[in-house]
Amino acid sequence: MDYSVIITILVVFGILQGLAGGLVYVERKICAYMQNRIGPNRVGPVGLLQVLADGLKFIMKEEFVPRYADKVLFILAPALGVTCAMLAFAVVPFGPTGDPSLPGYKDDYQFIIAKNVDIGVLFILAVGSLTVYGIILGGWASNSKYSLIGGLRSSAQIISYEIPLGLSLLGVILISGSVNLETIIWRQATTHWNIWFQPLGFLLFMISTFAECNRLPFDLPETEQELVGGYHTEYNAMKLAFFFLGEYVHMVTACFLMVILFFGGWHFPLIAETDSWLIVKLIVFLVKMSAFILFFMLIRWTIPRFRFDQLMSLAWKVFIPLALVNLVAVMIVKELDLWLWLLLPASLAILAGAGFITTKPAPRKVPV
Amino acid sequence: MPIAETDVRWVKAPTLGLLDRLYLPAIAQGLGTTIKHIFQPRVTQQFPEQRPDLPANYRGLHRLNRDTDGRVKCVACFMCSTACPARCIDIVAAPSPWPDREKYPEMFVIDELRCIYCGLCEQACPCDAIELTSMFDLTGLSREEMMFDKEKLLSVFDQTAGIGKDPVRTKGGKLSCASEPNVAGI
Ligand code: SF4
Ligand code: SF4
Repeated sequence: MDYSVIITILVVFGILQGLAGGLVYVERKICAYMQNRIGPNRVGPVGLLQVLADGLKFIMKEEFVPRYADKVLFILAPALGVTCAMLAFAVVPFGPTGDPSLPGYKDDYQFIIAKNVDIGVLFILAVGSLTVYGIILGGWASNSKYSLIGGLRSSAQIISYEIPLGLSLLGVILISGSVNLETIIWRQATTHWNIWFQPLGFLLFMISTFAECNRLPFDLPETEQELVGGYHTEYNAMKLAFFFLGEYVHMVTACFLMVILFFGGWHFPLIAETDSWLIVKLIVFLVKMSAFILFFMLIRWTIPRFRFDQLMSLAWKVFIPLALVNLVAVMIVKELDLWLWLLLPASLAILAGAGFITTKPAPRKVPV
Repeated sequence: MPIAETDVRWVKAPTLGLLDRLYLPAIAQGLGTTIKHIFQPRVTQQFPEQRPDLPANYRGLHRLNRDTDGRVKCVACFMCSTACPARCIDIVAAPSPWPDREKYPEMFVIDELRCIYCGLCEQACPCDAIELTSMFDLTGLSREEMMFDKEKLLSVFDQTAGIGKDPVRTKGGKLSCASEPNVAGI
């Protein structure tokens, strides 16, 4: 029995739960700064204890279940959401990992819970999309119209965005020749980052991730203006906190994934090469991940929410065709053994081409 | 009268070019705006410690002014309670104990919870006896506490007079016997 795994699990999940609270604080601060405000600053130094105060508030509140709600499902929903989000984290490297093709790989300590899982990306996609069950169940079990509409929107949205999410990853997987996340990192560390070959894939992946995590501009399942709170309208206390926890863990996982798949994981030219110290690699990795989280938050307070039909047409009419064309480009390059760098101009050309196709001719003159 | 043809100006919606259709430049521009704001000075006022600088014509809590002898200025003419749209001023008049006026308010109660702070009482008062100060953070634990009587309203005057935030007098000059110094000594 390898005790290091158990310790890793405890430490990682402990940190993840604390991180969710911390991210709420960061998010509120960033939001405040972008609106020329100060943000939470009353509880503790610079408001840092706000996280504790919020947590305490969640715990102390009355656990309320609406009378006409389906009690079992109502309580199960947030638990399911948070479990799936946490589970997906099992195969995500959160620090430096070695070369998985070496025989001693499994015996050394690696910064990942489940080492060398050969279906890494598939596992994350499969388990990550299960989190939508929590949302749909919550919306259904609440027995309220707002919740139900929120849940339905969520299911439609996530099913639509699963497709471009998966398709945009296929390019990376083809280039790396593996779905094992550690192998993907190692290949990037020894050659080049995938972002150079797949900028379009990255763009599609990132935007689909926004939709997957229900982050603004795609937070239609919980639109405050129309749906009160969407799927969590009827929730309070710890059950609501669990939904938030699941959402933030999902976001952290997504940010790790973007760094791993497109930005070389712990690798950074000259600073963190394959033979650098572990601590340097770890810091590089976490800094990259934090940068993405900050970017998520900046976007949240920058772009207004999409309308639902815009959301759907974006997924089905823009992202899926673009992802498919991108995939075909990778396939051609791989099949004909062309120079991999051709993919960079190809990606840009595909994007520009899509822009040209959708550019409408000037509207006809309005008859007077 | 129909709109003349020459007055009509047709405006066409701007056509979206390639970059506009990609939306990415617009998003980058938006990010630029929000990031710019991060480094701008904060506008937040730390309220309880930092009091807002309210203008002198702010319509907050009422006060009943005193004349130079420290007596209540009000002559119980009922103009304010007549003007009040919320009907929240309750006055009981009595013959004045002083020779320079006929009446004075024996009781003067404003229900600050019913008041809509419109300032009509201040405008109606012929001798500037009632004014709205810039005090806005009045709190109370009961409804009775928020019925401000004469003593309370006079004490508001004592608190707010001379802090440099005296309400703007809408009309200067001689307003009434009670509003001027008691020169005649009658
Ligand atoms: S401010 Fe308006 S509502 Fe309030 S007492 Fe004066 S007249 Fe009445
Ligand atoms: S406050 Fe002014 S208007 Fe009201 S009764 Fe007194 S003198 Fe008349």
